[in-house]
Amino acid sequence: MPQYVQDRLNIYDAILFLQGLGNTVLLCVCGLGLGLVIALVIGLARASRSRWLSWPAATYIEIIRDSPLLMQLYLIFFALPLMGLQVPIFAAGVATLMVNSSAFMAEIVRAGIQAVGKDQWDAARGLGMGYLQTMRHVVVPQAFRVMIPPGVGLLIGLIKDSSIISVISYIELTRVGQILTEKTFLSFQVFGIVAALYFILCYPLSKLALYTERRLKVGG
Amino acid sequence: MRGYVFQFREIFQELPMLLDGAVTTLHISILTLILSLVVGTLGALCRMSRLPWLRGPATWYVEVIRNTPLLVQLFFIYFGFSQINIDVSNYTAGVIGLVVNNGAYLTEIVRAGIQAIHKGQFEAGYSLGLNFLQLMRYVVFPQAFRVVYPPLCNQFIGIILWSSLVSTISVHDLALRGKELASTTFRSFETYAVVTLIYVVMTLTISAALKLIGYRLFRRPA
Repeated sequence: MPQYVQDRLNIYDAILFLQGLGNTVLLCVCGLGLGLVIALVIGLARASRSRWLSWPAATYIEIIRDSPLLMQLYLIFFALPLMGLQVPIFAAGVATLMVNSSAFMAEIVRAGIQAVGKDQWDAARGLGMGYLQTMRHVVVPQAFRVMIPPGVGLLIGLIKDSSIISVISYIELTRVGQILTEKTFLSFQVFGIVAALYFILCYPLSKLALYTERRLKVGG
Repeated sequence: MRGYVFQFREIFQELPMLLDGAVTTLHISILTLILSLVVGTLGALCRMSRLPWLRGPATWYVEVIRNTPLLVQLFFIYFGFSQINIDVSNYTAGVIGLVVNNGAYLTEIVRAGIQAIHKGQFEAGYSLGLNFLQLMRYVVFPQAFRVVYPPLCNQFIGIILWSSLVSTISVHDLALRGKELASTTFRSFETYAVVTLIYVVMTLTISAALKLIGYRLFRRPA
């Protein structure tokens, strides 16, 4: 065995794992936060009665949902420099997760808005509220409740999807796994730990999604 | 776009190569679907079993796979095999990874399908003297298939899209062909735009075709 190869994992590797975990969380939080803003706009456009708004939104959603995340990542990663934007890989990663999750979230937003009954609109109209006021005070608060279980599901998906950002060498959890595998050749152990860390992040969330869904059924 | 001129000519010249990759992608996806349907059916039966030593592992299999990323599962299998000196091709490792992953999702889909069948059907089957396998074969599966078909179609589209990840372990599918073309022509943006378009066209066509088949099979939109 060559000198530079480690034959076991040590304490420094543990720190690397935790850094990777932290970066994964950071990626997801930024991607989700920004994605939510875009999703609200697109979801509202999709639910709109005007074709000029709903068709472009539908096309956006359809294209994102019918192409692989890996290709979206490559497109964004290589397209940004073309537009004269030299961005760090972290920004490219966040942008990809943002674009990808916004399409899925937009559908959740639309479903949430459409789940609010038509009589709510009529009642708000009767109270003299405009479109934006109705949205802000009547529809969105009620829609939000319906959006939570699929939203949590989407967050789980996002955490798992963020592993793909490792392909452009951003040092998140999966990339840490690759680096340590190259250093130690202990693939089973390293990727076992990586998988366990992802599981620790996602498993409670999946239970939360189930719990909120059950509560919604009882309360609904 | 400062002075950048789009050039698709080189990409279109290599289109047959990309389409060859698309065929590999389809090949992998269909193989994955068939194998994971087998895994999913067995998994669903185990998850619903009354025997705890069948139900426990099946439940954990589903939970662990659904809460960890496919990419990590692929690396675990691909690099893990080489660690214990088992020689498998990239293609085989990729398919195994995809099957292990999708088997968990299909377990849940098949389970939901079987649970959607009315209890009276099981009782009627048993009272006719059918044993467990006969009951499944003649009563449960034909009815469950109807329920399972629409989510199964969605899952197949998902398999096509997620199979792009096997390019990271050097399986020559559409995504890897695209990556190679981008690095030889230096036309990254154009290449990935075309490759993405191929994926979109492929998934839209297939999901439309599956809807049509579903309509023919069940006389209602799937």
